[in-house]
Amino acid sequence: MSNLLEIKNLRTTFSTMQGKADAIRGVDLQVKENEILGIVGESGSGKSVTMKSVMGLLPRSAKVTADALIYKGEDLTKKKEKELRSFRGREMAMIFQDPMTALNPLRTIGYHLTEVICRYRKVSKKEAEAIAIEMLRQVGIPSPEERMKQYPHEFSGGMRQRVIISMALCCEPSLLIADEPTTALDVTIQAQILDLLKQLKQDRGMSVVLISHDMGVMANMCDRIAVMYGGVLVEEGKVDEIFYQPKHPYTKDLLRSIPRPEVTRGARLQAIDGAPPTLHNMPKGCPFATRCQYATEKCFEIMPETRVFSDTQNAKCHLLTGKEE
Amino acid sequence: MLKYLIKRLLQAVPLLLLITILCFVLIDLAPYDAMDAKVTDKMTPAMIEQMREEAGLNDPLPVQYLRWLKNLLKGDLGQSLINKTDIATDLKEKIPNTIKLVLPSYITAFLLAIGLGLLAGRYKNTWVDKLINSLASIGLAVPTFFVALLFIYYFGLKLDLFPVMGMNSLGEDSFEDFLHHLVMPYSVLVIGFLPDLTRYVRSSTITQFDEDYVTVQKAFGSSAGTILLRHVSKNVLLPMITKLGMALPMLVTGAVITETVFAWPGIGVYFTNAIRSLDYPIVMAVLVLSGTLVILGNLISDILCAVIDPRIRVGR
Repeated sequence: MSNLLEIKNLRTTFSTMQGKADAIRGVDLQVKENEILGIVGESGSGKSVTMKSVMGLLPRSAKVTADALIYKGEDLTKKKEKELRSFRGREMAMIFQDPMTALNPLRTIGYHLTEVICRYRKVSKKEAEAIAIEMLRQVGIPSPEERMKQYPHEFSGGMRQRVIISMALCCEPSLLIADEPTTALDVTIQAQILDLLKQLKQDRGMSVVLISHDMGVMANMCDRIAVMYGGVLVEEGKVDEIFYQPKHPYTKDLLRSIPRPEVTRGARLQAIDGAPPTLHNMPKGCPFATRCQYATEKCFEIMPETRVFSDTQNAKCHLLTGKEE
Repeated sequence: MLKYLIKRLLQAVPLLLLITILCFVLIDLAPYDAMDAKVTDKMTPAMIEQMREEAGLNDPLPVQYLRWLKNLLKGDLGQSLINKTDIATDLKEKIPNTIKLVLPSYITAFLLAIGLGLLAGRYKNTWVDKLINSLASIGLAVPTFFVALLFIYYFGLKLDLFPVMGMNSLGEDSFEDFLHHLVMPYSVLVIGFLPDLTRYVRSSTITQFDEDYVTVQKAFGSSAGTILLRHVSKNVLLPMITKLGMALPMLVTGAVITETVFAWPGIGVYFTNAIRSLDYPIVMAVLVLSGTLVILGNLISDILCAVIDPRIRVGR
């Protein structure tokens, strides 16, 4: 499978009142065609910022640099803001964590949808409405004709997330970035939305980047998984490799901390001791060193190189003995 | 809807009563009264006492208040204690003059504020924003009468461009002449209204740009201009409507100082003179009027908000 998107050495720095905050520190990542790539990590590990950097959605205080961001053979770093704008939506669309606030409360659902349709397709308003209704139907919104005239507050959270997904579909993007799309929804709705994403990937041949911290969701949904920690991609591999042969100590700890149904009453949930490094105080060595039970002196001093274990799996850790990249 | 309106208006009645009682008491607390303003050297204490008696100022306060209220309910605003003129007639003559000055100024300031505020909010922390914001801060800090005096000095005296007082030249009542007189007080009022409104729009715009729906719009390829015009502006305008409604009483009391400085024949001079001489029927009449307008203005803005905001519309 060829690469739809290739990120090379992405670095994102925020200038804040407290000085520079290095949010992303050299991430290499590929999104292949028609796959679901999961990005997992704790809060602040840089999962969202990575994809927002690619989309160009960060505020002005963020400085994004990359050796290359190759999308369908074109380097996005060499494009002007105006050209990038037409990429957003049409090529890559993004849906967000909180569907409750993602729509303009004073505009109808129909307005939201026809606005993006008219932006990318040369159609009349009537045709745009017909397309919009069809899209709403495809994402499973009942009686879409009436729903078009309604306002966001008349929709439940799950329904709003469907509306936003249908907005994305109106643009017919090749890549859909879903930034914790189900975090704000309850569990049954969560399953429905995830099924919808999976189905869209199959039906339309889209690629999906799913950002989440829910390992259970990842196991169900993804073809490949990238694990991020402290602004660094610490491990990446196929879903089976990550779940059955995790290499990086952080990945192992993460898997161990998944609550299991068979846990007996009174038993403690497994957690990783300590806290992740803060953005203003990133260690020069491995970001996980302070919490890693195997850490050596070298881990605190030198950032580990990528070790390759298979065509699809690699990890960044001094203690691993895989091939050097 | 009609039921709601009537309910709201009825709810306002006790509030208005309370305002009038409070004002009445406050005026009475002053160590002198309207008659002191009329006293001359040649009057004997007996004459003064008789005048007081005639004006009803010697009656106990509740009696005075109820008499005033009874007349008000009959539609009689009473007479000036000093000039013996009918207050309703005076107001009918003066309020239109005030409206002629305040209405165009407020509308200009309102529209300018929306433009400048959206611009400053959109380009937050750039030089455009810093310029607009610091000018607004200066405008907020400088009192209106000072601006008025500067205008009179430079444009009235030094450059002799505009007349410095009144609404018409003597014996002249053409529209051109009126406009010529209008320019300076109008500009001063616009400068007076603008800073507060601009800062309001600016902060409202900044808040809106931080909303998630803006990021979502951006993620779907909207340009910043489209987001501003199609999405943010409507959300910014919503609180502005409340502002507009609250500005309704300004049509009466919005330019008291400016009118006084420019000797504009509106409510301003009339009202300040009445306060100075404690001519309480006039003070009360103006207060009741502006109090009513405050309540009406709030009601109107609530209705307008409900028309624009679908969330409120459905709720009712």
